[in-house]
Amino acid sequence: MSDTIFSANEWLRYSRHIQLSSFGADGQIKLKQSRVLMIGSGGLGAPVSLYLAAAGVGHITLVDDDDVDLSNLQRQIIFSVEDIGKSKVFSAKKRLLGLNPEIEIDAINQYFSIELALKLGDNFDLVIDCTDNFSTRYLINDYCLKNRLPWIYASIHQYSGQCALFVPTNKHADNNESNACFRCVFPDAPEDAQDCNSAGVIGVLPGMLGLFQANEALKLLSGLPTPLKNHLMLFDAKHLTLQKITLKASTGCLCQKATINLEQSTAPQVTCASTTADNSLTPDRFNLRRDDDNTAVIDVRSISEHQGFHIGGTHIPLDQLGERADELSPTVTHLCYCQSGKRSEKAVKLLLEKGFKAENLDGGLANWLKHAKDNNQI
Amino acid sequence: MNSDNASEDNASINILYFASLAESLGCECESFNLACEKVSVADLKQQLAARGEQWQRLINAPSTRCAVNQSLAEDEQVLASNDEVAFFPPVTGG
Repeated sequence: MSDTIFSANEWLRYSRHIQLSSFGADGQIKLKQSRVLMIGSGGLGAPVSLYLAAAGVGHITLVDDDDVDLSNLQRQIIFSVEDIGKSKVFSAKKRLLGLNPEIEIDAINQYFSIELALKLGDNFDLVIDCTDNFSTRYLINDYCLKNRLPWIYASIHQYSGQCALFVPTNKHADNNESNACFRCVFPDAPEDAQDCNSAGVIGVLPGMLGLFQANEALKLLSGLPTPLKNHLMLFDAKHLTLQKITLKASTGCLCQKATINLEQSTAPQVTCASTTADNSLTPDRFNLRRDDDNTAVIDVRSISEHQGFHIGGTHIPLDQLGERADELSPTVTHLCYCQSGKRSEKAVKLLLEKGFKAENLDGGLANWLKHAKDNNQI
Repeated sequence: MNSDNASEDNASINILYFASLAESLGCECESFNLACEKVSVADLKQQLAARGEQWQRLINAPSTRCAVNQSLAEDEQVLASNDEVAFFPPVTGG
């Protein structure tokens, strides 16, 4: 009994895979012997890690330095209310081992930096990109080129997502295969990408893209066809359209070079914080300022947002602010707020141009609420 | 010669815009007439950019990519009648 690869419990647990045509015991053994590096434990990481763990991928390494926030729970379904404020990777590890105690999980509570990439080495069969920024994706690309590891990219924005499988070309192979890398597709980083939380995303989208990644991962690890190799999938959740763009290696790209030097991998930091100007207020400063006699608060969001939730003040939507400026007092300082701080920044600019005094709640209501939550004020 | 067919005076292509491009340009797809022969992706981008500041900024952004008939295309690729041209931006969230 003890000389088998699987225990009785595992054989029962994975019976639907073992009975699956072209997967079978062979595929399940391959999954058990696989080592997967997952970078990012957020929107994409949640569904990917849940399905990989459930499927029986033997060893999963999770990398993320973030903590769970209440606003994550709209889409990061691996976490619970009890996890708020705690490390994402440690919370995820607990949940994944609860789902499948037969596998091993390494939780690394760090940002994926060049140093960490060098330390992690190449002892993986697959890397899955579940990050939320371009700079880390370039680093993942270079790390995978250097170590010749396949990796699965996905990213999401509002109702749209992209997904691709990149397999570094084996330069020692006899065939003339030349596979595209991430830099071949996107040699230039977006200049003004609406990163992170600022643009919003429909909650099911990371689930859908994450499951495309998990599907491709399980097939790659178990030896099934992986048609996403050298293709970029463009998915639109609003119109339910899906396009597969054929990719090819770009001449002059980093992936065509003989050696990859990871220490020189360009990974400029992308931060989510909006720029802080002289007239921007932190939540604490906003709370102090609003109690002053010579200030008035303006909510510049839409009517439905104001009806949905507000923290007081006069409601004037940004698109009406110009024509309704005569309603405002010219003597007080107007403290403007919106959801993320972007519209209110425009409102402040407009009011200053019209000769009013105005200041902006930096990071908007979202930041104010997070701050209040962290300080047990709500 | 097929192209000398008199009824085929205007070759048209189909253009698709993805993700934030569709949103910002207010256009998801359109039929576009190639005014002359040997119009390249670069020529097409120039014509689209002439539509206004927003078009100029987004279509000419270095990070905006183009695919012709579902294959990633460079600026020098020449378009043919009935080609499907897709413009898509990088998407960054996760």
